[in-house]
Amino acid sequence: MLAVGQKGRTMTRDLSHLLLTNPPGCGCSAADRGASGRTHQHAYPGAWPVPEEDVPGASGDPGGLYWNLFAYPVAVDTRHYAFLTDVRSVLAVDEATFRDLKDARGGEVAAAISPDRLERLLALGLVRREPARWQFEKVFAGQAQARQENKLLHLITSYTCNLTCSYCFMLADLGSHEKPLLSFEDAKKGIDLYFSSPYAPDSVVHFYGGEPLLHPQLIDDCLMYIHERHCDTVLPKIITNGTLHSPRVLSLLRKYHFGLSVSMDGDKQAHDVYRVDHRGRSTFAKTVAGIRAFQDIGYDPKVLITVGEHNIRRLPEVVSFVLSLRPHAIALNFPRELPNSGAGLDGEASDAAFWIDQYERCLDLCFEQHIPELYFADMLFAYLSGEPVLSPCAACGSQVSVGPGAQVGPCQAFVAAGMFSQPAEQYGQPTVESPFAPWQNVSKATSRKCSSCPISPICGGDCSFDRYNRTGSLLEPLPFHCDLRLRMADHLTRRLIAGQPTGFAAVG
Amino acid sequence: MTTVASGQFSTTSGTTVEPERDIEAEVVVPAAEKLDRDQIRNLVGAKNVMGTCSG
Repeated sequence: MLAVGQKGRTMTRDLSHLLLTNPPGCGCSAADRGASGRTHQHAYPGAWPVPEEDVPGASGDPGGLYWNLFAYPVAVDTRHYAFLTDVRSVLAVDEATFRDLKDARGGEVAAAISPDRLERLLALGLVRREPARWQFEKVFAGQAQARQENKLLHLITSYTCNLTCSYCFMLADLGSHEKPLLSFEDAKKGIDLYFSSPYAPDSVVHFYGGEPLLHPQLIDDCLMYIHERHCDTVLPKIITNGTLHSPRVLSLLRKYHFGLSVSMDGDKQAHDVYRVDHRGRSTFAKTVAGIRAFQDIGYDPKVLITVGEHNIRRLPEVVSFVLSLRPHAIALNFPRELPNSGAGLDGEASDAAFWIDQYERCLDLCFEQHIPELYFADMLFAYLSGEPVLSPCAACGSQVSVGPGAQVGPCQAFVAAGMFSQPAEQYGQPTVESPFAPWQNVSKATSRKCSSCPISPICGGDCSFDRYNRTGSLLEPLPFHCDLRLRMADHLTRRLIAGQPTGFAAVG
Repeated sequence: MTTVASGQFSTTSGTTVEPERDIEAEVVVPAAEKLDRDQIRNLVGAKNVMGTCSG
């Protein structure tokens, strides 16, 4: 196990030109939208709350007046708006107010503003009586005080797969694992550990791999064990490459009601770039057949699309094909690692903004087809529930991942990488540094960027594995992921203003 | 803050700012009511997706 602060795996395919657009500053568009230099420092606090001296507005006078930290300025054509993500309303504002919001987000209101105008700004929610940090703590108070409980159990059934996708982050460090398969005995150790802490009765039990459907008996055994020993209301899920749909597999799927996700990178041209079998053969037809086989027995699978250089230029076309298969939902997973790619990115594809533009084009397609895109759905859940999410990912306090050899840790990708993990037998031993400990301080509250970001209340978070691999730290999101979510917020604002449905479901 | 002859305003730090004028702002989308999980699922078309990164 690596200690906190050690570097992640060496990237053999460097996409940092896409992701770190403006080092050493954080580089995200929020900076351009008005965060002052003071609010955009890159330092890594270790506890909640962030030390006061580092917090914008923390030293402010409680009797002062401050711009609403969560007033997110959005320009639509020639008009200006402020999306108040804390109360989830949208205001049309004049240019001067728009400019003020961009330049002084969360900061003290200039003394030049007249009392009458201030009264109106206060009444509209554009100005608050609390400094920025207090505003943040008020919005997230419920989440900060919420009972910590396990919500997601990952069981990594094996580090083996019938495919050889070279970008797979789960199978990139096979040499570090003595045991490629999760035995039932080891699975039980992880399962017992998960249920030994407070847990949600509708906990998700996620079978992961490698390819989990290579091991239907293990999945059956684990669920039987969980139901008999611990909880019979868990929600089982499987993420699969969709190529295995034998009678034994279909029998397992009929026995339980799984949430099923199939990994697929688009049409044949895109899919077969990486997703080939051990002999280098196409798996496209098998995957499509698998989706149809699952649908034929009553399943409504999601499709997970890894976005990379192999499909970014044609992404709307690729997504259109996937939507034609009528999945329950899709998720566009933006670049993690594409380690063995030989082709470079050039032209517009080398610009992170192009990737985000492509995402938004696909979002429009999803709305047209009434098929959710799951990262945007994350934002919708926060917006519609009024319950902001404090943790950037499930690994930050809600998740246990169990891999072969009974290695346990908070994140399945890190367990696969041999990092932030330990044998289940060592869990809770005071003499052993817990791999879960570093995640306890990872939240929007301990992130300089998130705690000063106007869309924090509706942001669904990002990926700790991405953070660590790019920066060596878990604490700050990457500029690319911030910009992607700011674009999602722009999109949501425009839909709200236009009176369009915010959800993907067909209306009427 | 003091009024200067040009009609502009001078702050205590000495910077000169634009003349005051009424804010033009209006609520175009009122504060959203909180929906419960079932209502959201029906609207979004998917269940809450804890752990989207893993599907």
